[in-house]
Amino acid sequence: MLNKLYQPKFCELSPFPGFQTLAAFHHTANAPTRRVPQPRNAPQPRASRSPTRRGAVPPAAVPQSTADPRPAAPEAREGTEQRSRGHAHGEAHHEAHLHSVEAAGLRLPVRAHGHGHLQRSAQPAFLSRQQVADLIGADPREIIFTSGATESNNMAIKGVARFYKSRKKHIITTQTEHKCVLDSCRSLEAEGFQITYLPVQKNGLIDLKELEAAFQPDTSLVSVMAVNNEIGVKQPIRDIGEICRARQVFFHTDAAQAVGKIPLDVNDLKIDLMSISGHKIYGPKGVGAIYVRRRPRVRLEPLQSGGGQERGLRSGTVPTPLAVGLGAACEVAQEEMEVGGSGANWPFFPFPSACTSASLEPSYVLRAIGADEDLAHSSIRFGIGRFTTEEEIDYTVQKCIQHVKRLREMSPLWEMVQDGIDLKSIKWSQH
Amino acid sequence: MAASSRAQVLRLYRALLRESQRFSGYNYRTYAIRRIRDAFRENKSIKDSEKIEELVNKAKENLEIIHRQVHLLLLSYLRVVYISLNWLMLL
Repeated sequence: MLNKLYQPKFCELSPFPGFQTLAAFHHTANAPTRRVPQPRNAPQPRASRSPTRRGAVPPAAVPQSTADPRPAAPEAREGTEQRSRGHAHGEAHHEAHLHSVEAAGLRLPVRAHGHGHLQRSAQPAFLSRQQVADLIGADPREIIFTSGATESNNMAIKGVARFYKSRKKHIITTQTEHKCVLDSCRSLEAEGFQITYLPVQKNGLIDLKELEAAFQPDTSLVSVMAVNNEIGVKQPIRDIGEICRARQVFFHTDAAQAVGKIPLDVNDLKIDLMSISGHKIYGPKGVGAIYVRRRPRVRLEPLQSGGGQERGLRSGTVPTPLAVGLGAACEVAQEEMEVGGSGANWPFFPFPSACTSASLEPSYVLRAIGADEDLAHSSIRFGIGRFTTEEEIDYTVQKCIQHVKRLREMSPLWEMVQDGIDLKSIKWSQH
Repeated sequence: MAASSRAQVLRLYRALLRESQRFSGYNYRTYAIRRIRDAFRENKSIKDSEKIEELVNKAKENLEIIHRQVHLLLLSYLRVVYISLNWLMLL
């Protein structure tokens, strides 16, 4: 029935769409390998790659086919590839990943003696860089692979701040940023930087006048996320980009939720740094990217020192399967955007989201937009993605209304509201 | 020539839809079916034979992908059942 090549070596899985888990399928040791019969005095294959070479691609990640690069059986072709993929909404990036690896595989120079010295331009990660760059209108040399948007945000904020710290010690951000941005800023405060956290209005957007007023002569960076993960608002990136460019201050945006859903062109919107997350665009978990502008050059102090990979800004071997998955996800996202959108313009209904739910505190984002304590505690967030259907939304809305009505019937507080009593004026007696 | 490629395209379309029906997940199933229908409808009136060939190849690749994913997701459900039974010490 199933070819044994399909069997996963290990996986942690959940059957529910919306839970994203990582399943790694390894090239099984028993996979048939094709060997071309060699004459006795044929040159021996050279070692495919010296382990100390910078930016080395692990040999297993690269299809080492000694025979026809397109073997007849599709199973055999898959078996020679090492892949990693995420589950739920997973086939989007499964398919994309395989597309990309196969496409890359076909470009690899295949030689009869099967050694694997590859030009850098033929490595799969190179193609992925191009795919990510195409999605945001950048140059592939400006894309750096990271372990996720959290690392990208840390790199952008701490890296830029520390590089320019001799002259510039001020950073502007907003109160509704992702935890990693706010925490990075907090750790910079401990290093002696000054941070301005801009408040947001009731609709979740920042006030551009306040932004302009917040600039100081020693401002090095402005960081505003493109689309908020909790309340779904889109900040006016274009305007912010213009303001920053006029004052020659670097503009960083955490575009994790926005990439692939709204058109983002880094040159059009005057963005200098952008964080991208793999799993938010239905790619693998554990990978992301950061866009770092080269003209005019944005300098950052690397967080991770080492062999100088990724332009010296992020040392460490690029995780090829993850990078390929990210690239392919970007390509699929671009197609989807052209076709008609993945519905990300629809609003979220906010709820304490994953990052802040460790505490009982209501979400700081909701508090920032002025929701009262009780409203913040009792809101629910519905996320809508590429695979959500209109039916599901209608059903959810209908059920919500039904249950809210039911609960209100039972609630004495609701009666009081209907009588016109302001709930905040109630004096609760002690028991 | 036109007749055979038309028949080929129709066969692919039917095969894609049939394979997508086998997804056990509601979201993937509806997405795949809708997407396939939209894509074929959108490209209905393309006349350039090179473009047609390119699209047909893409469709074939996608058919293979859907076929694999149907099996893999099925396998993953079985794996979850195995793990949970193991945990409950029913195995």
